[in-house]
Amino acid sequence: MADPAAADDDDTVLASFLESEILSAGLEQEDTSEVRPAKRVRSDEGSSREASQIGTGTFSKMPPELFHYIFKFLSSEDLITCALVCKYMSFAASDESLWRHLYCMRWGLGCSKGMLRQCAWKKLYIQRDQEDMNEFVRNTPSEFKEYYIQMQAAKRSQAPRPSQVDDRALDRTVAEQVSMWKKSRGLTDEAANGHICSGNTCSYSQIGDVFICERTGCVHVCVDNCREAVFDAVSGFMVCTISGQCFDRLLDPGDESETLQNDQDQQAAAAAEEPEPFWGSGRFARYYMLGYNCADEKELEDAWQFLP
Amino acid sequence: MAKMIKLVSGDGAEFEVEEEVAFQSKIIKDIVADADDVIPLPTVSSKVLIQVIEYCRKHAAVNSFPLSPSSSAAAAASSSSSISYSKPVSDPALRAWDNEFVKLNNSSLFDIVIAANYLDIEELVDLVLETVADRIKGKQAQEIRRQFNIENDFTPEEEEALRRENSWAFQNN
Repeated sequence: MADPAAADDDDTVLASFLESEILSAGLEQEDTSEVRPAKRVRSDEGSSREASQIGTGTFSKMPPELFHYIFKFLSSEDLITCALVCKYMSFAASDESLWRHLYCMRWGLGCSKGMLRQCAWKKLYIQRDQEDMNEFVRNTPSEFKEYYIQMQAAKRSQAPRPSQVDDRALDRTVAEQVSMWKKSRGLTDEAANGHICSGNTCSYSQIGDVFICERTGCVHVCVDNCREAVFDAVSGFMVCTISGQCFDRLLDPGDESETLQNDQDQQAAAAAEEPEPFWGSGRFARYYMLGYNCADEKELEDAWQFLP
Repeated sequence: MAKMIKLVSGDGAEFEVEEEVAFQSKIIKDIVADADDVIPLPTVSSKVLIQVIEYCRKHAAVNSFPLSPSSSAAAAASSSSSISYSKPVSDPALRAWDNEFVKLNNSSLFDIVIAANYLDIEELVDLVLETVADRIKGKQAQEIRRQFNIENDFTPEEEEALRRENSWAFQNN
């Protein structure tokens, strides 16, 4: 690694490296939800890693908060590149809130809410990216390795979309947003009496996968094979009357047996009972579909463990 | 007759604009609420103010006359949900206009965003910052330095240490 001729420089290099370690440790302890250019005094004679404002070039007139906002649009790869440009950018691109956003965008909100402000997000991101990469390399057959490596690398260059840049949305779950929406309309969280929501009679407001009836606040979560979907003969799809989402009719026999089973289940159950969730209906259909989806006997055996 | 507001730039030039145009700026809206129709903007030069007013004029027109189906859908969408997910403009014609508007050099863009930030014109700030971000994306460090005239203030050793520290991003394992 080190050039023999540069052996004397090794100590300097080591020192810089340690300096950077200490610096990033320092950043972890702070709450860096806004960029506060460091006012720490560093007494080493080598140049300090922070600058209160970018000194040169066009950016010099840019206030720090706007700078930070620009970085919100960048992917992890771009942030790393920026960290190499100059000292100020290096500091700004290591801001934990940026990395938190990227982490959550790529892997979802792994931590509980309480930890949101305390993790060393940049380190976490790098670590997890490395783990993912190792995982892929270990588990893929060699002819696909290159492909998977490229796929992984591509994830690093995924930048937040403009609509995702707004941090306020990140901190709230969809449930909270739905609640807020309802409150803003004077609706409570309880279901309205006597109102039967249907795609044909009501208008809906959409938050993510959730559709809220604008009159009563009734909530419909549109996910695969949602209950409101009806078969549209023209297109051959199941179309949700509320969201308009189309679902493929995957297995004609499977669907039929599931519908049959559903009817039988519903007739068998008393009217007072709540409708069963997907897993509770059409036992035969579930086994059928599961078998259809499994590659071999072994997978089927394994999958059976999960069925009630 | 539309109410007119007078804006005075840093170098003393005066600009009369319709109220709805000026109100694209939240700051101005607040000031005018205190019954003050002449608004000095000492930190904004004429050149920048002209550009900002042009932007505001275009966006005020779109916001107040949602006649086209796409913009009225956008207006309806934003009014029915108090949680606005996205700030970007949904009307494609307006987006095209915006894209033309930001075809400026970096220095001018920065002047505009600083003024827009001062005047609290959210959409304009977003637009410019996103444009700047696009000019950074996918570039190497040296290219970024050249593009924005940034001096490399790392020593060679520091730079080497940084590269090693961040080599994970460029590893193909």
